[in-house]
Amino acid sequence: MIAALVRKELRELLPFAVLALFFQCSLVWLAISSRTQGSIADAGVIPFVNEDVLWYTFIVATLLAVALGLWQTMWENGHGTFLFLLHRPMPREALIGTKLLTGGTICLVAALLPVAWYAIWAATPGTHASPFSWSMTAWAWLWAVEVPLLYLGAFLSGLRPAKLFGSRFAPLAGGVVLFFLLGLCSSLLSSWWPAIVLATLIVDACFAVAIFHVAATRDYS
Amino acid sequence: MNDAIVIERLIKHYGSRRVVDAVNLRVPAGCVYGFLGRNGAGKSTLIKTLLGMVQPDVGRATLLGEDFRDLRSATRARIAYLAEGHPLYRWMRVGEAARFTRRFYPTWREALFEGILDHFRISRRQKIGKLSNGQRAQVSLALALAPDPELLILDDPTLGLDTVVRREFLESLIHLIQRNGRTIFFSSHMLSDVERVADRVGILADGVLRVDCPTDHFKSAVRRVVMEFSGAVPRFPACAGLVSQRALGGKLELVVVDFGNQHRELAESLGATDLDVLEMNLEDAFIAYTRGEAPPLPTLEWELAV
Repeated sequence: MIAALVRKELRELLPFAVLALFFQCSLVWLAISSRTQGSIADAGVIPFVNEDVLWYTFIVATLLAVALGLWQTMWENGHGTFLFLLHRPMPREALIGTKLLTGGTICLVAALLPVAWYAIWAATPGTHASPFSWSMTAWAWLWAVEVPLLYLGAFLSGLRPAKLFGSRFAPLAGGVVLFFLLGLCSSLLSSWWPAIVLATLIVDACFAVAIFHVAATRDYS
Repeated sequence: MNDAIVIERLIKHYGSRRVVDAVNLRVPAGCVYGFLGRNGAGKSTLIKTLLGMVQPDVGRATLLGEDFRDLRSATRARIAYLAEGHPLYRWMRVGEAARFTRRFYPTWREALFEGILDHFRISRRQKIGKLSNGQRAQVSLALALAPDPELLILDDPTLGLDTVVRREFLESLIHLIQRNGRTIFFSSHMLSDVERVADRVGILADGVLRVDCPTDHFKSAVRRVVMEFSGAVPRFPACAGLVSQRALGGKLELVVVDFGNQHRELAESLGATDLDVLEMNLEDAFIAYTRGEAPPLPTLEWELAV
């Protein structure tokens, strides 16, 4: 049952995921190839310290997170398929939880993959003429693990019945604010990473609880 | 006999509007129950409430003996639900929809599913988004019946289908579900659909269940009573069995259930010069039940005066 549901979600989210991964890989590949060719413009650029490529990948990842969260809920709502899905003989928490895990995993992969690729390249001796230490990458990992927070905010906005131009997007707006607050902490206080990860997990859990509550109590009419 | 569905004092509001108004209903196991009402009468809301898609304000219900708020997955697997409009994933092919659905049902009967598709001449390779409304309804029916459910709940299953497809759909439905103990509860605003297949009929008007009886009894019990008056037409006093009344010229037309001596005496006390009791067809009876009190139409005389 879970496998069938995961396959269905993956199939629905595949176009988004492929597009996002294409952009992510292209961005990292362009950054790496420009360093390898040693262009003058890149002289003095130190990976994870003073270059922009990872910020661009985070923009792609956040857009993907919002798109997935809204798509998984508003599309089902708009086409009435929640009525079909929720009548499957499986606890509603499991149905919604599977949706969340699938979408959340795609977001996390899309955010972490460029960081991992770029970090491995930067850590490989002889690839660039600048210093590297794994501790330099901490802020980037932290930003990446905060991306699902936006996904959860978007999912809750899509699931929660409210006026489109009323409070509908309040959870997403809250997610954006918290994402940037935690991101700021990640950039400035990356050595406090356990506390930042814990705070991120707590916010994620709060969103998840709200999602399960709304899923159980809202009217699908 | 066990009841497949029991509803007790179910109430649901949308805002200040009471959409389902203290409905009490029992559907015996093995019964084909036609649930009638005009568009917006509250049929879909009541069905969605039964299946946990809508939260009621007050009331309780059981499906196959289990509380509707806490239906176990095993019980839900014994209940088929066709939602209004037959929502399915349009990007799926028919075969994919079957593969997806059967994972949830240990009792899935592939041969039955194939047989229904063959009957409707639908290929597994067809994309659901490319099917007509009628074909999508047929695929929905195949997906609903393949797990061999004990209870089928169908929310206006023929809505949007043309006359031929509608007839074929209903005939197939009745043919396919011929088995002791299997219960069908289906809503419709098409009287002919209900008349053709239902053992029992319920009529919901403005959220209130106004009729709940065997279909044949409904046909035989409702009468039109026409009274003539020489002077002003009085209002008929409220009494048991009075469904509606309408003044037409010097006549008062009533719709009455189980017309008897009490009604006759009341009519005579009003001074009626003539009284006719006429049979009604099901359609007229349904209209009388669901029309409600409307303000009178403006007359031609009024228009000419303007």
